[in-house]
Amino acid sequence: MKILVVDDEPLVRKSLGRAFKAKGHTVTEAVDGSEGLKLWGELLQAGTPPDIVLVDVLMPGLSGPELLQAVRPQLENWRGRVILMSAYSGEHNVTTAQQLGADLFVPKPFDDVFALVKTAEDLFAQQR
Amino acid sequence: MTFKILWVDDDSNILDSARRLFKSSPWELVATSTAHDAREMILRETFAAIVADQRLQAASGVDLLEFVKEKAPSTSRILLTGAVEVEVLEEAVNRGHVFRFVSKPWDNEQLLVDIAKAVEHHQLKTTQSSLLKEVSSQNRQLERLTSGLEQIVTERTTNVESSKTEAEKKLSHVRELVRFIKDLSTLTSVDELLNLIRKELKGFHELRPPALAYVVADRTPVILFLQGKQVVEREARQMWSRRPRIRINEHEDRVYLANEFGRPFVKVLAIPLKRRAVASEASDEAPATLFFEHALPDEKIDQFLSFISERLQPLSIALDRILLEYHLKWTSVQWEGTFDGIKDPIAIVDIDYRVVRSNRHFSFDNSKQNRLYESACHKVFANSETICRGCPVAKALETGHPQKGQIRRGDRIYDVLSYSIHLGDDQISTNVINHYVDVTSSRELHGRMIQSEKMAAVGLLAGNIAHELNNPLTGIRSLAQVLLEEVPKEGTLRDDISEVEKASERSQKIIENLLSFSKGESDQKQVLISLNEVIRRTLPMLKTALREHRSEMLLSEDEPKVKVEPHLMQQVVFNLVNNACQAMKDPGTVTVRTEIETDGEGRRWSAIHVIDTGEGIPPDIIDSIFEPFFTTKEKGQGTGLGLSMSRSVVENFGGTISVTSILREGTHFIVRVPV
Repeated sequence: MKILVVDDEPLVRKSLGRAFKAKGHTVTEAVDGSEGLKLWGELLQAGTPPDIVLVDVLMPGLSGPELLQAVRPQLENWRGRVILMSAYSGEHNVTTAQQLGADLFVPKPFDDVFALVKTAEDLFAQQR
Repeated sequence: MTFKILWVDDDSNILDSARRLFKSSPWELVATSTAHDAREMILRETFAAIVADQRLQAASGVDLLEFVKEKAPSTSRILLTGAVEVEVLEEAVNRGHVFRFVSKPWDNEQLLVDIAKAVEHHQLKTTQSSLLKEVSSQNRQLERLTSGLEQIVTERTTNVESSKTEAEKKLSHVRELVRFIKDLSTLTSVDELLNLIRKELKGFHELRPPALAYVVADRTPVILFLQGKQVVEREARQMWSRRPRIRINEHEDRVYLANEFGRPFVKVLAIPLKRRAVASEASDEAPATLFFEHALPDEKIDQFLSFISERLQPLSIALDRILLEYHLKWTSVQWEGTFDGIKDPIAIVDIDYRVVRSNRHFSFDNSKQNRLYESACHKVFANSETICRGCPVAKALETGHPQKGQIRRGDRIYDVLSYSIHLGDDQISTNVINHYVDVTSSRELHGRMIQSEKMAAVGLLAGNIAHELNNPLTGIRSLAQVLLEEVPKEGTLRDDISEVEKASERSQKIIENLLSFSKGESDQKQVLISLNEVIRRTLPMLKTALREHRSEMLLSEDEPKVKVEPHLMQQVVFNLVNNACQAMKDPGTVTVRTEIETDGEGRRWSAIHVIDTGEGIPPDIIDSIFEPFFTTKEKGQGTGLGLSMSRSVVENFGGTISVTSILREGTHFIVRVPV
């Protein structure tokens, strides 16, 4: 799978990247919402769209939901899935995540990062 | 005066000789020749002497003289005789009481001497007789006088006696009046007044018991009457006549009474009392009026009226006085009612902390019986033997300015506003009026507000911090997990990474608890949770506090769940353990123990014991420690809300919080929550 991680916390990007790569996936990292929007667009343009996009909610500049809002026009033919992540537990749930254009909400910190990788793989499998 | 001498002789020569003789005499001669004429003259006028000839025609001289003696005894009688015969002499002396015998022919000089003596004799006799007369008339007069005097004396005596009775009557009358006035003066109620009037009038059998209509201080018209021996007082249904004069059987009054009592009245006496001396500003109000139903005959009405008229003035004054007292009482009752109506306790207290006056709410058990004057204010107010801590009275008296203090009554806190007042003539104030305001709930409210705002701020802060921490923590933990996958299965590196992973997990839990702890009450509901779990969640936050001390956790094996709001219960545990740590200046031991207890009624309680080995709580303040803002900590160290909040939280869950403490040994708090 091709993974796009959008998170302003370097350690989160690093650990997620390492975990997905360990399971044989390709990972692109964006340091904030703006870069996320740019990279996501570029990947779509390049014909290598991400299969799973992991987006943090609270980020400086463009927030996660704003990013999803901004990228929507380019996603007409996109078949990938979006996972929202937030450290504010309880603030978002699956319903709000869907309203924001995401398929899944994951609270931070993760109890087990490989469980998250597995969840992403399951989502990708459903896509097919 | 010229004395008259009557000469009777039938011999004209003799008469002529007599006339010549008397010409030069001081006497007047009346001469007559017949005894008959002489007799008539004797009867007609008074003669000093009579000279009669013995031999008269148709009568003897003796006969004539006898007649004279009888008719005019004071006239001296002289018999003129030609021949003196013994028989004649004898007869003349016996019958006529002759003064002198004169023989014919007489010696002129001798005759004049004799006549002079006869006149003298006459004079003597006349004087004697007039004296006698006078004496007798005087006697008669005296008699008359005496009898008159007696009569006068009798009359006077009668008069005196009757006036004495009169005076006595008057006196007793006055006495009666005085007695009546005295009786009036001791009256304290209109009831008594009415009864007294009835008693006073019991002599008038034809009079029914009186009814008294009057207007009380608040202008309510009142009718007072006797029902049997009972005095009944009720509000009058209507106003009675305003006319101030006594009225007899008048239509207006009959109608009034008929309406008032719901039955006809035939004969009615209406006696308005004098207008009140202390009249209210409403001078148009009807005067207090006595009404009598009666069957008095006309002649007795006057008697009654004069009787009552005499008593009207004192009656009016007495009623006035009673009504005035009523007014005063009513006013004081009003004040008392106002005083008692005020929910805040109020008291006037003197320099010795004695209660001078107080309202009902002043006494700690709200009983009027406790309004004993001369009782100590702290005893009555707070049931305390000593002056309340924080009492502002002394300072108010000392400075003369209002002072504010805060004192306790049981578990309530009162603001005391103390104003010095001058009740006597003293220059220095020896009394204060204290106004007590229960500020317990407002303090609690205030405290809760502060707490909740503080918690909201902490919650916000914690939320932000949690987010900021969670992000790197996510990376740390996830990276650790990734590294654990990558490093060899054996070796110290793996163990180290594992420790990083575990530490980050603990950090995550602490942050979770912090978030939960800081959340407002409304965010959480009561859930079933064991107290052991509450303690487990709380302890990580107490690590700093417990750093210097030893802690012992003795958690029960049985972990029954209780229904509480976990974050609030955590606050309670946090407070208690934190206090325990702060109570120990030197390193000591905090023991946290949980137990399951069963009380006398078979109810199960889950209990948390928090025991320290600190300084202990002094006995005089141990009752205060659950009060809001009570704190022994330095400024900035505590809010004084911890224990009061803890208690309100625990009680909210149906539980209790209690404390025992021994100085220099330590303090033992027990929180019990029903299972």
